[in-house]
Amino acid sequence: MFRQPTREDILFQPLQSTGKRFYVFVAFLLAIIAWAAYAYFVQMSEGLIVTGLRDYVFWGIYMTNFVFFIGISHAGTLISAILRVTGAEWRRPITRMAEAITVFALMIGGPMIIIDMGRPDRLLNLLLYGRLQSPILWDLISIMTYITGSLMYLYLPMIPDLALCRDRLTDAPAWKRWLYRVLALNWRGDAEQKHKLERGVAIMAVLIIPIAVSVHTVVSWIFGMTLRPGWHSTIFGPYFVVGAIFSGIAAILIAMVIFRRIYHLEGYLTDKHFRNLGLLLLAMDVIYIYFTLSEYLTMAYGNDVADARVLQMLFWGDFALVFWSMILGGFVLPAFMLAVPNLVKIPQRAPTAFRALRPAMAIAAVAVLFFIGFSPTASASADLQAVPLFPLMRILGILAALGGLFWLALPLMKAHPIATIVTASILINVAMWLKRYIIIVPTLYNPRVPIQAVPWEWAHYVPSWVEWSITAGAFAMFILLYTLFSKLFPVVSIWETSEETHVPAHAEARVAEGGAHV
Amino acid sequence: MFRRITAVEAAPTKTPSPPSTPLRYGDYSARANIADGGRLCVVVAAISIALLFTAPTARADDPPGAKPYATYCAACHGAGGKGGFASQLGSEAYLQARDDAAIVQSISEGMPGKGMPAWSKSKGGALSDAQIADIVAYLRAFAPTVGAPVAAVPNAPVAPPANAPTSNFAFIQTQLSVTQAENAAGELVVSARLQEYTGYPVSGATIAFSRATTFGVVDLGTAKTGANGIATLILPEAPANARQVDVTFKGDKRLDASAAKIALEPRVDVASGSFDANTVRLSVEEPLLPPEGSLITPNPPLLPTVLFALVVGCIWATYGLVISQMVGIWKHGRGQAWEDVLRKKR
Repeated sequence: MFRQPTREDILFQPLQSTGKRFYVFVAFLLAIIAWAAYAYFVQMSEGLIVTGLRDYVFWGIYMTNFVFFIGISHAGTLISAILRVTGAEWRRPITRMAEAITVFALMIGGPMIIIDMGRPDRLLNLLLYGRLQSPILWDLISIMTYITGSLMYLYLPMIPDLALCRDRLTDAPAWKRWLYRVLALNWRGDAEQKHKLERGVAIMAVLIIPIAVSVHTVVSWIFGMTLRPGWHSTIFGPYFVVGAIFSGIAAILIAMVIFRRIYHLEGYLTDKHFRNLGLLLLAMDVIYIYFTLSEYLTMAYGNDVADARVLQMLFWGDFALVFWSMILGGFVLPAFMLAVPNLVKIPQRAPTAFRALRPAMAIAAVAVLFFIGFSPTASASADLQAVPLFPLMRILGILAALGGLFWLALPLMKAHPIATIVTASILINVAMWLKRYIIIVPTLYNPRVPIQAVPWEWAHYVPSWVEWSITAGAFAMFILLYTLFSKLFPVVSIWETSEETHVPAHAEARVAEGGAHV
Repeated sequence: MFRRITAVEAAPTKTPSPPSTPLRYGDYSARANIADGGRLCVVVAAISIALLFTAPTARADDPPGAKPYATYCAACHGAGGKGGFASQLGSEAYLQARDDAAIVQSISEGMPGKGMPAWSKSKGGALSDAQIADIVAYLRAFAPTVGAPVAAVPNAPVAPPANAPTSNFAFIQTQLSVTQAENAAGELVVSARLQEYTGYPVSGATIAFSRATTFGVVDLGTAKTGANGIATLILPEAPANARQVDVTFKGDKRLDASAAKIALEPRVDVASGSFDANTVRLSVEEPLLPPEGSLITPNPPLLPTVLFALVVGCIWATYGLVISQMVGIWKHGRGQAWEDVLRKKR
């Protein structure tokens, strides 16, 4: 029976047909995961000595991944719940992919703790002998609560779509039909069921917001409750929550652009969605910069001995390159990328001379950056206070070159607004990963009683191949879960994106179809 | 060596003799504010003497240190050691006052607080030990110094190799002695007396107090010696067990370094000078954390536990409510037509 292609057909397309590229992609991800599994096997049989972790620096990129994924997980819940509660209509096509990020990020982030442990079996001790006074136990409880809640929050609004899958995808393999049938909970969309569903969704949307906020606060308390320099700070709770929402929005934007391209969802994920989320991202970026300034200014002004050592390492010492790349490239530059193209007007046709000189100017700016930024002569001036002039000139030079590059790229950004927003999102997520690294490692370099008279590698942290492999595996696993989810369930909520009037009509159509089959 | 004698004379006559102010451990405001003017005179004297005795020695070729110097040092210290933001390394004053080991140490370990980073690879810097040695050799080429004994002997055949130790340059041997006593407040006072080998007390010298512990060396603070050559440190507690306090004088341009240590006894009676082994006490009670009232407790405190359980319980109860909605959806839709539809189709 020939039917006119409907909106459902577009959204069901990924569920029904699977191309060769999909299998290649999944095989690639599985290869990475297998390699990570081998790395974990090595870690299990040899012990944590195969990692870069030692007595002083006992948390490394595993913990960075943990905080990062928990942060990403705020994408779904907070964004979708806040937008749902406030009744922002444009949220409808993006809520589900956001909520799925939450669930899968938690599934990856939580186990990073176990991977970080040399004796994972002792996790049991937390349940057997756990002390309620310990933030570690708070963390366990809050993450378990959060993952349960976000699973329910993902599942509830999916029930009508699962029913649709059950009714439409009748030629799917038996296990899929069984899955849809069981998960659809006998949904047929009458008033009583709708009422219950709306009630459940409303409760979850309100409840999940404080839970999400509390989870990342508790994660921050793992650091904040210690008396470590750089960690012992009351700002850490809100700082982590804001950072989580910030990186979460960036993660949604990346997911959106990928799904839009691969599943041809241009009709659902419009420029408006990117623009709105981009503005939200800009606001969070500015708030995050404010928090960052507030944190470091407080530390620097107090100038406590141990705090000063940490700041010295961040600003001018071992971590300066990572730190400043993160601040400039990951927070400041994205803010400009998200804001400036909306503000300026540029002429349609640039003067010929300008266009001709553009590549030369770009090369000049890059050359300036390279020579000022990375030449060994420049890095000799490690202390701003001792030699005020030279680093200042260097910083001004770097800023001028970056500004020049930005100015040159402006027409490009103006022409491709979505690509600009997504590039900013990628920069932000890289920076947020680095930020978690920057929070964890420099503090461990600087215990209150300074590390003295130990071999170099005891006092320094360099992630080993095992850690990098498992990290790659974690990201591959996240992408794999997300990909499989998108192949099994519609990533854009069908019933929520339908017109208000469309729902009853659609129900009738289904009844009619069912009748035809009878 | 009359140069040494000159220096010795310069110091006591021109150095002001400030009163000896005891340093209280952890009390920054009590640190003695002692003028350093005297030391300037010593430096000037040393420089002028050095100028008298140095004859330019030709250095034929550029040492291999020229390149690393230009790359890493010249930005602050100027091309050719002429100075800039930082010290004039090519100056005779600088080179005369330090032996190679001291310069190597400054480069490899840096000067914390003065802006000089640590350069050696072992400290996270960019330079290998060989490169640092090359740079020192290169610096030595600026001022033909290499110590008084060589320059003073007319028939010295050649200048010694650039990296040969030159520590025999005009350093005055010093001696440190440490005593302990208890003051009227019952605090333990550690006194370090610094004197030259002649017995002349050294004033205005910085004495560092530290204590070796199982977790590393704890810096107790520094104090300057007074006119009597004595620097004192007040410990907030008289330790119950004997512990060792190390006292060091790093040396300066004129004086050689010296060190001493003392084992702190539980208590020393000031009046009689006798040691009373039976009286073991802390003069200042260490503030301990209150056993209750915070979360650092052996067992979970009742009120926070109940509140915590209440909050988590409420959340899970609400989950239960939501799950009951799901069950309601499922129950309500049971036995509907679509099930027959599916069954027949299969």
